[in-house]
Amino acid sequence: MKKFLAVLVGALLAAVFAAGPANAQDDATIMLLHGIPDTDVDVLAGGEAAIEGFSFGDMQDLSALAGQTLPGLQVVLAGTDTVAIDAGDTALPAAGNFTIVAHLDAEGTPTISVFENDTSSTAAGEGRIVVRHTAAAPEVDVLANGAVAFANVPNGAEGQLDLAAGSITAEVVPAGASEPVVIGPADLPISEGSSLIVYAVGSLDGGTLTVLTQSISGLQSAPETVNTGNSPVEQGAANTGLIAAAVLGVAIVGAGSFRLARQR
Amino acid sequence: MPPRDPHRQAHGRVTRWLALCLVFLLVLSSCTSGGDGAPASLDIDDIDEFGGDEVEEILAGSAPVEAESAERPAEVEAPAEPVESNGDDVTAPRERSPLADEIEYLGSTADLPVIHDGGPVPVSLDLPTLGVTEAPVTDVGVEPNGDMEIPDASEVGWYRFGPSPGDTGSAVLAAHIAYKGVDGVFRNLTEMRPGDRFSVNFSDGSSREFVVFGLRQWSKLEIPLEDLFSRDGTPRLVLITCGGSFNRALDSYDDNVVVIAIPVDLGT
Repeated sequence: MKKFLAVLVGALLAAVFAAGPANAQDDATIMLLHGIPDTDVDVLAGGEAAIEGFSFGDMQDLSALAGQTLPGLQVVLAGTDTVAIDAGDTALPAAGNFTIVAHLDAEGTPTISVFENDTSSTAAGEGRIVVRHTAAAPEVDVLANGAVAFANVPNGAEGQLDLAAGSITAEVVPAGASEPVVIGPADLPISEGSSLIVYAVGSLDGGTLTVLTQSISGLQSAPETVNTGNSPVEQGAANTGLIAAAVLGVAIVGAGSFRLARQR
Repeated sequence: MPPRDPHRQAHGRVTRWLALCLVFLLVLSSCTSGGDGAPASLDIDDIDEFGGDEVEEILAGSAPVEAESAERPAEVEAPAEPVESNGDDVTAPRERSPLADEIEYLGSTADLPVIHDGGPVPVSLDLPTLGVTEAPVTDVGVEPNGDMEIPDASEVGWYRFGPSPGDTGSAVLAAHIAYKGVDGVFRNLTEMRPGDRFSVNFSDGSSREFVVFGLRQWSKLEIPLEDLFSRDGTPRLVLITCGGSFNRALDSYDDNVVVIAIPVDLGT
């Protein structure tokens, strides 16, 4: 009985400890992506250089600044005082997973969009694909393996799907049309437990349409069950009953309770 | 990742090293005690002896070293100097914002991710304790209902979305105890004992030896599958089959029996 109680206490302790790491994951992840072709820039905060020589396609990790307000944020052409984007005081989120994208709007004017990334778990065996229209182009359809996966996506919008792990061939076409293919076809890996985020960037008129990608891994789940027997064995299974009772208690609640139980 | 408290980090490292030493001592003692060192019967005391907190640490992937390093792509240094433009009228060098130190340059995102080719995969399994020789291993995924795919009675399934045996994280090999009235490869898995060695053979002709660390039985409702299928932490290999009572209504066993093993050459 004492041992049982000790195990119970251990279980409660284990539950408390288990809550710890979950909270730690609430730390914010904030990425900054440069999606404007042929435009090297500097990012200024209060007139001082926070990022210098920031080029098309580059990604910067701002996570350490989560929750802070960046004063007088400006994007200037690299090495000049020519302001491309004046964002003013900019508060960064304190929690969550975000990508801030500097890109062209549908008309070709530089702008900034903030996308929240879905970091919810994917089902065992599946990966996630996210497409974001951040190019100077009208509404588009995104085809996956030749079929429309996302229809009528305007600039600044996104779509996402969880798919069986594997690979897909993706193409971007004008909304409602099957050609011309303005981006792709491109083979994209759907990695189990990962989210692949694809940004359409550049300018249709400028002939600079292309894609940038970001991956978020660690979203996997374990299978639901491991069912490794559908017929009974004569006596062997009973053998295993020997270890069941005690081991269940010890093993599930973890090391802490084990030590406790042992001290009794 | 935000910087962690350095003291805690150091403490964690010490703990991990201690755990590593412990692992080695245990492995060593199981090696030197000779072939008859394994207990003759499995009872609770044996489990306590071998399968205590060390197994939980292994299961949780928190035992030895190494695994932490692969978290993030290598840091690429941001260009330290502003690029000189060609004699244009660049104004006086700008003050560097203290924020710059907090921002990490992660490189370009312009290349499409490469479709992962993967390394050698397990192709067969030798379990001398059970008299199992070159049991074929096939890679498996997930059934439409979310269960792990399991091959027929004569084969072992390797969960291909997790690590390959011996790589970082918890590799999973599962096989039937009995399937359609035929004994499965893991029919006698409960006879494995701490200290037992076995081998996994790979597609490139190599093989790797593992040593059993512990044996566990869990109700299928309680089994910590997230740990058993973890992609992180100490390289470990779990062998999973069924056990406990056979539920005739469900044609299924109530429990899973799990052997937890680590590579013999771990850390060398």
